[in-house]
Amino acid sequence: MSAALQLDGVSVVLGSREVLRDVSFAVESGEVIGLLGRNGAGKTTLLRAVTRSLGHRRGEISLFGAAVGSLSRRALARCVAVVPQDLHVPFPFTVAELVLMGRAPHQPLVGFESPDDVERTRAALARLGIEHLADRSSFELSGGERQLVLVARALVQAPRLLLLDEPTAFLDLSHRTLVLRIVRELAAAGCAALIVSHDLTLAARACDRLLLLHDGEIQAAGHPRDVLDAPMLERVFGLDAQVVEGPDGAPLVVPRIGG
Amino acid sequence: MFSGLLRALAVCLGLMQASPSFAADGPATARRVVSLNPSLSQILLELDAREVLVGVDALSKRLRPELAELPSVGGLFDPSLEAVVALEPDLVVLVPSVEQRDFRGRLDALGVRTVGFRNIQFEEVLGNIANLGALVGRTPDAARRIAAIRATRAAVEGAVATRERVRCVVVLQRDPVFLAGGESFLDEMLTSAGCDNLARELGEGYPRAALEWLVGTAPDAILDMSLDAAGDGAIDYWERWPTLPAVANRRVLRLDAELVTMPGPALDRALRSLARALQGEAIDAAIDAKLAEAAK
Amino acid sequence: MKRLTRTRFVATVASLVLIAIASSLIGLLTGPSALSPGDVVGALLDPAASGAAGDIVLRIRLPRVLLALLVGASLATSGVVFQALLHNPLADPYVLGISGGAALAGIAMLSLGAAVGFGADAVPPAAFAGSALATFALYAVAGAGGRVSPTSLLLTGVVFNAFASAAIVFLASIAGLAEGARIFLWLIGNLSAAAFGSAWLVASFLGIGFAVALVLARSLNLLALGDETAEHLGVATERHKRWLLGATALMVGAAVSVAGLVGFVGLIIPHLLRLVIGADHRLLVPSAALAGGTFLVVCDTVARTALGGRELPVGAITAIVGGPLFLWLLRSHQHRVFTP
Repeated sequence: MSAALQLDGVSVVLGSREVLRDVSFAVESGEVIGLLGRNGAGKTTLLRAVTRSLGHRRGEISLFGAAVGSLSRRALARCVAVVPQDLHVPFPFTVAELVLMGRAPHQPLVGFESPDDVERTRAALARLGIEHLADRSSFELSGGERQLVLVARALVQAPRLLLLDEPTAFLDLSHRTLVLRIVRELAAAGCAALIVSHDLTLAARACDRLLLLHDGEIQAAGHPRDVLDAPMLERVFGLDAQVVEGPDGAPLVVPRIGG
Repeated sequence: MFSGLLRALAVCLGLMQASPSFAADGPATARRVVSLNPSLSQILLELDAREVLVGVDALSKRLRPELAELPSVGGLFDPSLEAVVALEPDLVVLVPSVEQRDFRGRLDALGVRTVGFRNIQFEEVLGNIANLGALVGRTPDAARRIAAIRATRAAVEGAVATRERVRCVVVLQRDPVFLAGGESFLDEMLTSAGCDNLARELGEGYPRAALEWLVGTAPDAILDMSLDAAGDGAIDYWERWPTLPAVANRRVLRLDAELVTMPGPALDRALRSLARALQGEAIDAAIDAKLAEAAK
Repeated sequence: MKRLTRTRFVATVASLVLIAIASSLIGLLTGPSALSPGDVVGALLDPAASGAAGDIVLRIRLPRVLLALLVGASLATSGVVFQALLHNPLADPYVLGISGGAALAGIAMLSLGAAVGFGADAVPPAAFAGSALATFALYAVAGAGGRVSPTSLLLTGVVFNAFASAAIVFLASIAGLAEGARIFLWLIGNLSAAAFGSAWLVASFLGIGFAVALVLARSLNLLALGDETAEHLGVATERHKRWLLGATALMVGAAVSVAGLVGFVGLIIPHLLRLVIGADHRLLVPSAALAGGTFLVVCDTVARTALGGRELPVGAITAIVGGPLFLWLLRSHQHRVFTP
C-alpha cells in the first residue's frame, strides 16, 4: 500500500528565493508527523505545495499513490483536510455554518445538508467542546475559539490526511492537549497527520516522528528522542536549551532564559 | 449639436441668479464690442451694428454666417479670458449666467467694461434691444425694432382672441422629457399666440416632466423643438402614445427651435410662427389685417 | 443549531416574493396622474386597454416597475457575488470597472453618437458592449498568470474606474448642454427610459447571471472565506470565479446600460439581508435579488411621485435613502455586519 503522502525531491521557488530544496519524506497512514523549524524555514510552504496552493518547481508529490497534480480539487479535498493558522471571515457566518462547510467536498453542488452532515457537525462540535458556540457569529469568536472551529471543520471533512498549520498557537494548554488527543484518535483510526508546530515539547509527545526543516531543507528526521537534542536545537533554532527525558519517557525541551 | 434646449438652458442659467444686469451709463458709444451670447450678437446684427463687433462666442458664429470672419473667443460656457482681452474691446456684452458671471468678474478686475443682459422675460428682451442700441449708437433702429415687435404681438393677440385657446406643451428634449415651464418669454409668447402652456404648473425654467404627467395631462398640441425634431424621430416617438389628443388629432408640431427659443431681435417672427403652427396658416391673414388696422 | 433548511429557505423566499409583489402593486397604483385603483386594476385586467389609463398603467408604469425590479435584482445579486469573490464587504457592483466600461461606452454614444447618425436607442447596446469589453480587459490584466486574485481584480477595477470617470468628465465637458443633462442623469441612475424592450433584455441577462450565482451559491460560501480555504474545501476556484465574474458582468452590464449608475442598491441590500437572514449564500442570493428589486421599485415610486409631474432620477433617491442607512448599519450593527 502506498504512503498517505510522499514527497520526492521537492523544490519550491517563490520569487527568486528557493524556499524548499530537494525535500523528500513520506507519511504513512496512521502516522502523526511533526514538522518543526524556525519562522521562515518553509513549513507552511511545504503544506501549500501539498495542497497545490502553489506550484512546485521540481520533484514529485503524491497522495495515496496518485500524483497530486492529477487530482481534481474535489478529490483532493475529500482526502486531505487543512487546519490553517487562522480564519479571516469578512462575513457573519455562524460557527455551525462554518463547520458544515467542511462537508462541501462530499455534497452535490446544489442542495441542503443531509442529516448525516448535520450529525457529523454536531459530533465534531461536541468533541471539541464548542456546542455552545454553534449559533454564534464568527465575528464574536476569540482566536482560540476560531482555531477550535477550524479543527472541527477539518473533522467533518472526514480526511485520510490531515495537515495542521500551527493549530494550537492561540490555545490554552488544556485545549492544545485536546486537539492533539483528537489527532491521535484519528491516527488510531488510520488517518495520517502532518502537524506544523512551534511547541517542541507537545510535538514530541503527540508525534510518531519529527521532521526538522531548516532553510528549506530537512536537517533531521526520526523519532522525537533522536531528533531533539541540544546541538540540533542550537543549529536549527539557534536555541540554547537543555533536553531532558520527561516522566513519560519523551524528551522535554527546557530553554535557558536567565543568566 | 446645439439644440433648442442648449440655448433654452443657457437662458435658464441666467434666470437662476439675480445679479444686477444693466448699467448703460458708461462712456460714449462703443466701437469695439465682444459679444458672448448669440441673442446679443443677433440683436447687434439686426441693429446694423456688425462693424462694431470684434469678437463673438463660437455659437454666435455658427448661427450667423455674417459673423464667420470674426475671431471666436470660446464657447458659451468656457470663453477664453485671454482671447477676449487680446481683442482690446471697449465693451463686452454678456448674459450673466452662472459661468459668465465669474467670467465677468475677471474681466471687471482687468478693467474691461462689461454689461450684462438678463433675457428671461419678454420685456427684458425688448429692454436689451433698446439698451444695446444705445450702447452702439443705434437708438432709432432699436426703437423701430421694438415697435415692430410690440405691434406684431398686439396683432397676434387680437387675431387669436376669438379662437379657442389651445392646451399645449413645448418639448425641448425627449427621453427624458424636458419642457418649457412658466416665467419666460417663451411662455409669454405662447400665451399671446392663444395657447395655455400646461407645463407652467411644473414650475419655471425648463422642468423635467414625467412621461406619465404628460400622458395624463393630455395636451391638445405638442410643440416638439428637440434636437432631432426635424426628422421623423419626433413623429415616431409620439406615435407610441396614440391616445394623446395631440397625436390622435395630428397636432404634434415641429418648429424651428432656433427662431422660437432665441431671446433675440426676431420675437415678432417667432410669435408669428408660433401662431401659425398653433392656429393654422389662415391666421397670417388675420394678423396682417390687425397690423394694418393698427397702422391706420 | 440553526442552519439553512429547506423549510427556512422556502419560507424566506416566499415572504420576500410576497413583499416584492406588494411593492410592485403599490408602484402600479401610484403616479403623478390621479388614476383611481379601479382604473388601474381595470387596465391591468384588460391588456388591450386604450385611452390614457391604458397608456399610463400598461405602457408607462408597468414597464417601469418591471425594469426597477430587474435592475434592482441585478445590482443586489452582483453586489452579493462581488463581496464574496473579493472577500470584501465594501465591494459593490461598480467596484470592478465593469460599470465604468458600460458608462464610458454609453456616454460616448450619448455625446458623440449623434454626430455619426446614432440616436438614443444606440446607447444601451453601446453600454453593454462597453461592459463586455471591460470584463475581457479585467480578465486579461487581473487574470494574467492563470490566477485571478482578488487583490489584482480590485486594483485593476479601481484603476479602470478612475480612467473611465476621467474620460467621462472629458466627454461631458466637450458635450453640448442637452447631452450634458443626459450624461448627468445617466451617471446618477434613472429609469425614465423604461420600455418593454429593455425590460426583456435585462430579464434575460439577469436570468443567466442569477442562475449561475444560484448554482454556485455553495461555492460562494467557500470563496467568501478566501480562495485558499475554498480550494481546501474542494472548490475549483479559478473556474468558478470566472463563471461568477462573467455572470455578474452580464447582470451589471445589462442594468447599467438601461438605468445608468444607480448607487447603493448593490452595497446596502446584501448587508441588510445578512443582518436578517444570515450569510449563507444559498439563501442570500435569491433573497438579494428579491429585496434589491423591491427596494428599487419603492425608490422609483418615490422618484416618480415626490414632485408631482416633475421627475427625479431614482439614483438620487437610492443615495438619499442608502447613504444614511449604511451609516446607521455601520454604527449600530458593526459587530454583526462587519469584521470587528
